[in-house]
Amino acid sequence: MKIGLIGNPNVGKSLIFNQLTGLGVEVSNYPGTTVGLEKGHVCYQREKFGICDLPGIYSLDGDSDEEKLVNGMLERHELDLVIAILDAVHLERNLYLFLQVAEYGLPLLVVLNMADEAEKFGISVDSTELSKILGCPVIMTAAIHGRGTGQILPSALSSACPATVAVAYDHHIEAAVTSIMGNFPVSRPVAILSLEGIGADQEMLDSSAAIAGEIENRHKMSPRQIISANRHHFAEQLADRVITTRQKKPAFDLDRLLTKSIPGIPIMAAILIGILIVVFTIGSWLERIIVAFFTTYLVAPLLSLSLPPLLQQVSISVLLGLQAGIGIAFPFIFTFYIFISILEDSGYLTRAAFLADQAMHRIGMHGQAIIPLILGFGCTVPAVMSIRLLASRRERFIASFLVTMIPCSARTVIIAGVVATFVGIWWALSIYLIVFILVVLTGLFLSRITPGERFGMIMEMAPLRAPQAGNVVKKSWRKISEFLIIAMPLLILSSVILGLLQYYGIITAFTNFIAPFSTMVLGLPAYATTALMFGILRKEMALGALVVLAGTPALNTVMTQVQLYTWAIISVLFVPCISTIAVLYRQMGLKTVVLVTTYTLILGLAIGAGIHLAFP
Amino acid sequence: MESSEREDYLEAVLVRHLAAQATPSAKDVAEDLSIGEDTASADLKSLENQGDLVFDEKGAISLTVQGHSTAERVLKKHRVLQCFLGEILGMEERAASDEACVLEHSISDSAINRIGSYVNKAGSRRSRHRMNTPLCQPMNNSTPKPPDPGITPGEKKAPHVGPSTGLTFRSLIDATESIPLTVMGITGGEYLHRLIDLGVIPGEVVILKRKLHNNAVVLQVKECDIALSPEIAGTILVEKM
Repeated sequence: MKIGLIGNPNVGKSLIFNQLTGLGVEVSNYPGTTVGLEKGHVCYQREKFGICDLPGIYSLDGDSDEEKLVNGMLERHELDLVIAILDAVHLERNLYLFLQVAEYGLPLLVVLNMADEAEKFGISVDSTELSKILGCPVIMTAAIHGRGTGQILPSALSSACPATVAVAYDHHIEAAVTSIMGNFPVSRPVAILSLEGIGADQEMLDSSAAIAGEIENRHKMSPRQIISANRHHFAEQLADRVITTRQKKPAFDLDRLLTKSIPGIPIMAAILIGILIVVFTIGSWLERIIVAFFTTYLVAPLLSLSLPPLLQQVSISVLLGLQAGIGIAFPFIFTFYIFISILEDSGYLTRAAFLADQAMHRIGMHGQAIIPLILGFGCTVPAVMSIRLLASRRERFIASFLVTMIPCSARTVIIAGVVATFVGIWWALSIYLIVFILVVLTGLFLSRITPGERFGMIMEMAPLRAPQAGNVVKKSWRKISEFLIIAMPLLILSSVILGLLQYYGIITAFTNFIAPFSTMVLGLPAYATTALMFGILRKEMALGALVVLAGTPALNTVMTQVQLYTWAIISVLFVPCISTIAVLYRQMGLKTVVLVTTYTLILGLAIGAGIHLAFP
Repeated sequence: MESSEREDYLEAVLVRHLAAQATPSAKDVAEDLSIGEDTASADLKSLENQGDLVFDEKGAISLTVQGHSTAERVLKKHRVLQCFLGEILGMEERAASDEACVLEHSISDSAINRIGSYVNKAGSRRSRHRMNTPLCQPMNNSTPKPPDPGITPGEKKAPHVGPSTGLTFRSLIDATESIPLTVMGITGGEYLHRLIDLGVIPGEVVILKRKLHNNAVVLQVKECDIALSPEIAGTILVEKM
């Protein structure tokens, strides 16, 4: 038996999915967090049920991938039971989708989520009356507090039934639908979609188009407009019958500040720069403690054992890998994820997107594109995945370049560990400034040359809410544990391989080979350029490799400040890491990947060479 | 007498007749047309001779069948034109009426029919409840007046406050914040579906919550806040409630 969670964007489907399945899919407070189909299982009374978390949609008759995916699953009866999740605060708008879903005749359970917020706004929904009108069971939940979610599965399995409610369409529409269903063996919802010009059967579409033309002539409105007006009107009447609103004295609306140019834009800048500074400060402080601990209690005792050279090399490499991983992961990446999670959960990202709309237009995208860019500060991989939020291929193409250029937390590690520590914190921030300028220039350039349609922003503002500490920590922990499980072994392994290569003199050979280019063009010691290569595997490994190859974590003793700065900026810019390349390939195809990789490689080396020219 | 003058006289008589359900005198007509009573009397007499109207013994004017049909045709043209100029093209109400007074005499029947059906089409997008009702309700009580030199500037400045008309039809980016607006239509096809899904449909009452200097807006529709780029906001036509 397969159960689907269907609802508008940002109504809490993923949160409920997590609570039902015990899995940990991404939950955030902005529309479009879930991009694909998430599947999980749940056992109830010794029976196993499949549950899918479907991406949030506003209707079934759109032409976006998400709408087609959900519509397809309903049409092909891939779901045995639908749990429709509605936002109690915005019931009327949510009912619009529900009325459409109800037409498929599948057993339904209605979950009115966000009951707590509705209460806060003085909105009360008569769920008994709603259930009576819809003809299927309705339960109230506040998933964010876990209230009522325990009831979902028992209610769904015991009492879910097809809804009896049906929208009363205009009689010409009804006549047309009857006529289509008489001529073609299709269900009512498919016939309605076909009248709106959506479907796969060309013969049916042609004959529907003929009827649609007549209706349009008569009504001066397309069937699609009539159908949706009927649905909206029906939803409005329905909502009026079940909602009572007590007028509450409106609390201070934070949006009065956040969505105005002044002080909204300064607030946005302050938030982003503030996060960077705080992460730098906390990060380097924690890093010093962790690195000192490793050096005193593990590396020094190991060195004093005087093991055979090969064994010593391997064990030192393991320790260095571990040190780099832990010294980087917790101080920088974990702190960063905490702040990103707070931003995600607060609903602030949609405000930032609104404010940034005009600026984003200049660089060929629209406001929503700022969400991948901000997520990019955390990790480029999820940021690249969220490019799907953008409506046109043109915008996704431009975003692919810009997102990969944003310094992710691993690159922050490099900036903090190399520049902030040895050159100075303002120099570290200047790297962000340079990257920012390059991002803008790249955007300006790409928006000129990229062909394709423009599509403006239509984005629902997520409600502002205080992020819950538990959720934030859980989410950050889930991301960091991915790092620990996937990246740490790699880091240690590559550290060992690096150690062995060094032991057998292969690194020296490569270093000698690259030396002329390195010293002449970039002004860097050859081993530093070798270390850069490791950044392709994972960005923070470049730093690990540099420490190993330089033979000391005190990098300022072996390289000048200009060299450290140059090295850091090259490793920040050049070639996205291998995981980014993989996910970009899946998302955008080979051509974009090759272009992005080549562009960033050239950009990184050119900037490095430029700095060397300016400060020889 | 020119034919346009004849039409003006007949129209004025008909409007008086419709408004007051009574027969006007030559004095009333002269007042409405802002001309001297003597001229009006003389002209009206000559119209009586042409068989367009008759005076009764008290001097009250009634239209003949011939006069009535001419007057009705001109009045209909006037209404269609005033509606088109005012509501579709966004001219000020009085200016639209004045302009209509001039155009009504020369415009062809075929052109007026086309404008009429265009106006009707725009009107049917207006309301989900009242399909096919014309955009402009005929001006039941207001009299179409020719240019009136006696009008005070103050009256001219406040053309939109009349009780029966006062409709202003403009794009969302021209609206002011925090005032309830009724959606009249969406001109851009590309964004139509997503806007419809979110409830931006003709007849819906929305509030412009925020407008930045660059015309990006936050629109409250069905209790939800929707952020829109300027180019999309510009395709939504609204009218003050």
